[in-house]
Amino acid sequence: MDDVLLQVENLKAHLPLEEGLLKAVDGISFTIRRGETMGLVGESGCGKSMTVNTIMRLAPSFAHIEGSVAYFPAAGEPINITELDPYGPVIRDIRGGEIAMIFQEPMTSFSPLHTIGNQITEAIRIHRANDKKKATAIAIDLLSRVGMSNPAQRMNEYPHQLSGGMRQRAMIAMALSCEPSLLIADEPTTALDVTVQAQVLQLMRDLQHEFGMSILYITHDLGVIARMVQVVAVMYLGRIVEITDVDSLFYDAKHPYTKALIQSVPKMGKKSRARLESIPGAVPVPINRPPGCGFYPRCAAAIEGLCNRLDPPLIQIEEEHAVACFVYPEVVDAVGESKPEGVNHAV
Amino acid sequence: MLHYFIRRLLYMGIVLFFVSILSFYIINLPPGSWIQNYQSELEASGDIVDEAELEFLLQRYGLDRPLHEQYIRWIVPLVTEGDFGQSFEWNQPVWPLIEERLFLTMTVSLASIIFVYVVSIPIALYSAINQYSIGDYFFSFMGLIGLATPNFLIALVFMIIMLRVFGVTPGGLFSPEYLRAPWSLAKFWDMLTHLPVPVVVIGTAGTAGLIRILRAQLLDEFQKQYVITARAKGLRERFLIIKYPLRMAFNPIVSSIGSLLPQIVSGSAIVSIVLGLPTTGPLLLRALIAQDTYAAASMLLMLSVLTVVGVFLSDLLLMWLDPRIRYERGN
Repeated sequence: MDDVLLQVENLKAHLPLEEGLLKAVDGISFTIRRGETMGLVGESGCGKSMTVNTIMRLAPSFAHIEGSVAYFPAAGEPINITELDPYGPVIRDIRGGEIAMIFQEPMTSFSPLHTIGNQITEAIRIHRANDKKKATAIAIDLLSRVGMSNPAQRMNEYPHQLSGGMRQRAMIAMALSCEPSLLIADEPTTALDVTVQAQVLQLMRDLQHEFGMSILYITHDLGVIARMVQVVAVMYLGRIVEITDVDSLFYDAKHPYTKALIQSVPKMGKKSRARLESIPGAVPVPINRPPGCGFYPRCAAAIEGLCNRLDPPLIQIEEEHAVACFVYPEVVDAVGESKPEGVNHAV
Repeated sequence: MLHYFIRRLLYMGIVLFFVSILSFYIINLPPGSWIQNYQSELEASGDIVDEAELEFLLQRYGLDRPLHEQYIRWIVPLVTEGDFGQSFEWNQPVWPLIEERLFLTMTVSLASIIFVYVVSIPIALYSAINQYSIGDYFFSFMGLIGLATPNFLIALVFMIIMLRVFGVTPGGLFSPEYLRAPWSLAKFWDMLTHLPVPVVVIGTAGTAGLIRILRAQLLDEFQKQYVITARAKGLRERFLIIKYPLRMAFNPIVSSIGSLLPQIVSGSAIVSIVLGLPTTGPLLLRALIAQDTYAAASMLLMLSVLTVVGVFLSDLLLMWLDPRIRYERGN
């Protein structure tokens, strides 16, 4: 376990809203190792972004946070991020310095009133070199490494003078400027067009080789998952329903939701007339959610009297492959129930 | 950029031209003229009306001519020689009459604007950062009272307090001994000591309004992605708020400077009367009632000049603050 970088344990983020309690993140656990790329995949509103915002302690202050997020720095004792003061010096050192973040919207992620250079050197000066010249040199070097032409000139330009792809490159440069151990990328290519998307993904892979950091990649795009990550956690309604390596995700998915998700992606070579599968229903809003599996109302394999009564825990059923579904006897055993008779196993 | 300046100056000239025509026209809209007013005043007080004198005045000021000729008689010497013409009511040239008052109006207005900003920006910041706290509610409550109370009423309240508590008769901008004295450092200092009451009175409503606007603006900006980006970089909260959202929230404030100016100038007229301030407000009111065309039109024009220049300056400031606007205007 020496190579563990971030260990999330039973993390919860509950938002008390006027309509009721929104369990945006409801008891999730996963581990990111050094140098590893992990994907967090799920539909909009499943709690992906809330998960990373909670890890960064950027969640709204009225959110109830439970569980632990242990960060293991290169040297020194592990830090439990959930216990930190969200405005305190320890989390500020981690933000940007140890864990950096790239956001979805390159249009709005930069302040329109400050130059790109100003906003990048700012981070460098906090964490690395409080010397203006040095910071500028680092920033220019980074801008050229993310493939921006005329990096020295770009430093003095404003965000509105750059294209979306260029802005996202600048964003990546900014995130990497302090050589973080973990890069959290929250749908970094969603707002970009496909060719630019491919370039940015390639860039991130190259930079990961160069810097050797871990990446937590948040996306709803399975194509991006296939290209980018080694380990995948599938999230549904605030919970992780399956964790596995990327190959078994695509060839040996266990959870009915994961299977449905994969079937809803168009494949090359498939008959073009064939209809794409879609998952019936929509993601319910997790406000005042009833007990049982969140996917139960949409699930074809649902077991009446079990799935709508108990929460399936995430249980490892194969090596490095955990799933939270009562279709698998190991999961049923884990809650101390016996499987009802005459239920169809095959999904 | 140079193009932009030239175009702006041209627009300013055009605006002022139309303002001068319009104000001249409107001043002359009410039936009758200054001569008729003068005549009926004399009759009312039982004086003998000298028809020849009236005829002489009519000729001298050209009041028997059509309106456009009167306008030309006023505007041409004004533009070519800087001559504002003659005030009928005071029977002296307009410029010396309004010179000092214009200066004092500007002083009071600028001081009020500075007061508005100095008071409202910290309060709005506090209210936005501590939204729904007791302090926020307190300032909101005070602000709403300030917004809802007419300025002249606040002026009266202040006068009573000054009189009852401090035993000072407030009013005016100068102590009696400096009233007619020429300008000196002592007189200037005397004016500064008289400024706070009118400034607070005139600035209250503006302060209350700006607190509401700025607070809403800041709360809006706090939600923006770039704030979260900055926070994710590990910036200190206080530094971050001042550098990003406050800076963004400044845009609407700066662009409102121009419009704040005429509001303060015209809004302060009643306050000036109540507090006895020697600004243009009371003089303008009297000139308008007396249909003292040249004096009234000159004052309106000068106030318009100040406003137009104020708007221009606030636009320049905006360009300096916001690179997007600079970029747009530059092209």
